[in-house]
Amino acid sequence: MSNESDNRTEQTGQPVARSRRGGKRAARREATGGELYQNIRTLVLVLAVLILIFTFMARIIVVSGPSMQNTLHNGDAMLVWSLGYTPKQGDVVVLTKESYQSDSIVKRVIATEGQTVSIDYTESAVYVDGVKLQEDYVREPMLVPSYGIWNSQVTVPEGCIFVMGDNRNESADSRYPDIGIIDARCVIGRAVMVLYPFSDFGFL
Amino acid sequence: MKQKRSRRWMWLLCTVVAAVAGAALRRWQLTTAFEGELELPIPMAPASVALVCVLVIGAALLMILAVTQKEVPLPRNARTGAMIAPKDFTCLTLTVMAAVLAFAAAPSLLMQGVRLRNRFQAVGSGNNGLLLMFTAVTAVAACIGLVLAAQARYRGIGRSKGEAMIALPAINSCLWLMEHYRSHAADPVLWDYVPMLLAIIGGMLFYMECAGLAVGAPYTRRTLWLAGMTVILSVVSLAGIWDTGSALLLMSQTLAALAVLWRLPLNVEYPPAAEPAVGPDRDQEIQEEHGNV
Repeated sequence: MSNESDNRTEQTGQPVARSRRGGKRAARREATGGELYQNIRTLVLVLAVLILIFTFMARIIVVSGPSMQNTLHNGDAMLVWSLGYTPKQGDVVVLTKESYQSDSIVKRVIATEGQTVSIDYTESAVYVDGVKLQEDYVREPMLVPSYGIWNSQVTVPEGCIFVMGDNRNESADSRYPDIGIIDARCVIGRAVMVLYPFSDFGFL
Repeated sequence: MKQKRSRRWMWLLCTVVAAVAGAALRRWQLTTAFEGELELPIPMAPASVALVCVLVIGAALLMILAVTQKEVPLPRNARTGAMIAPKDFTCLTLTVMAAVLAFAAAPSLLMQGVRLRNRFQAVGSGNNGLLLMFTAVTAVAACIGLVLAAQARYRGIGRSKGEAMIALPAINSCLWLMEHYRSHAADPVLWDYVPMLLAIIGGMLFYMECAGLAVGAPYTRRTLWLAGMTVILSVVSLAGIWDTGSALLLMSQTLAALAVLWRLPLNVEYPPAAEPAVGPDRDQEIQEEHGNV
């Protein structure tokens, strides 16, 4: 009964009723628009923050090639920390250097500036400042590379590093003429942990 | 008739001065702050230090302007948005030019994407160009969004679908940002790509705030600050050497931000006459709706 009377009232004042319905529709539209906007805005903010984090602090880089086996395998996704990093001996680092490949490369730092590296292929050993390195991570005994012995004894210049892959016989590194001693500014960061595949998950 | 005094000129002056100084320093940096075949950065090069200082000072200056910006709130139930510019030919021209530049960027980006795609198919690795192609497509959408926003502003329809369409360039910026990050993630020289990365992020957030003005989430001071930063970062980026598509998109967002800097301070200080809301008060309507449910 009351509904009927309400309807009648609205029918008598048709323009008012129409504007009220229009107002409700507009309000509903606005509420939906506002909600959609908030969702998109959140996504945009998250994207911006993630990009900033993965630019200035850390990056996720996928290993390409077998040069770091058995520490890292082809296709491993690793977290690389770059914020405030300076290369240290023994660290696994990611670097970009124009060489035979355009992608970034993953290697282990053998020596930093001022240190002298000498490689003894007969003994399959690496000496830094005359001290033999204990390299449990090396995959197999080192053979003389196909491109010859080019850089078997060298003192690392200031601001540079000497790097080698853990898979010494399948690694193009500082021993390789096209790569050589690397400027530390080419280093993107230190490989901290393997994220994927989960079977390899863990800190390096 | 007493002329309205506004901070508009202060905003424009600070932004343009910081942008021009930043661009000049960026040029200087490109010629003096890198060395060797790989163009690695010289640590603490004067040009790099000066550029960072100018950017920080610019950001701080704009922040001070934003914080001290006089703001007269709009009536609660007003349907008039903050960013309307009825019969403002300058604002219209800037926004339409931004739209035209966004549209002009699309073919260049598309061709680049296709080239990358072909190379990817031939080599089997590297950038597959898809993100760049999507960026090209959304650049057209950005153009449409900017035209609709320009029209809505010129007609004085603030909180409208047209003005909200300015979110489309933000979507374009999202894809552009991902593409830019993807193609430079392995670059150890941050200076090679960070200025542009920040410019894209600035533009993306600025467009989102503009859309917020249209859907009833107005943060006018933040919008003004982001507009200023978008101009500064875009001009600094443009001073580097980039491809045509990116340059056009940067110019587009610069003009869109200038349009906001031109009009918004005035609207914030002297709110446009509020259009009466259609029907009863909005809050009351929403309450009624909830009651009905």
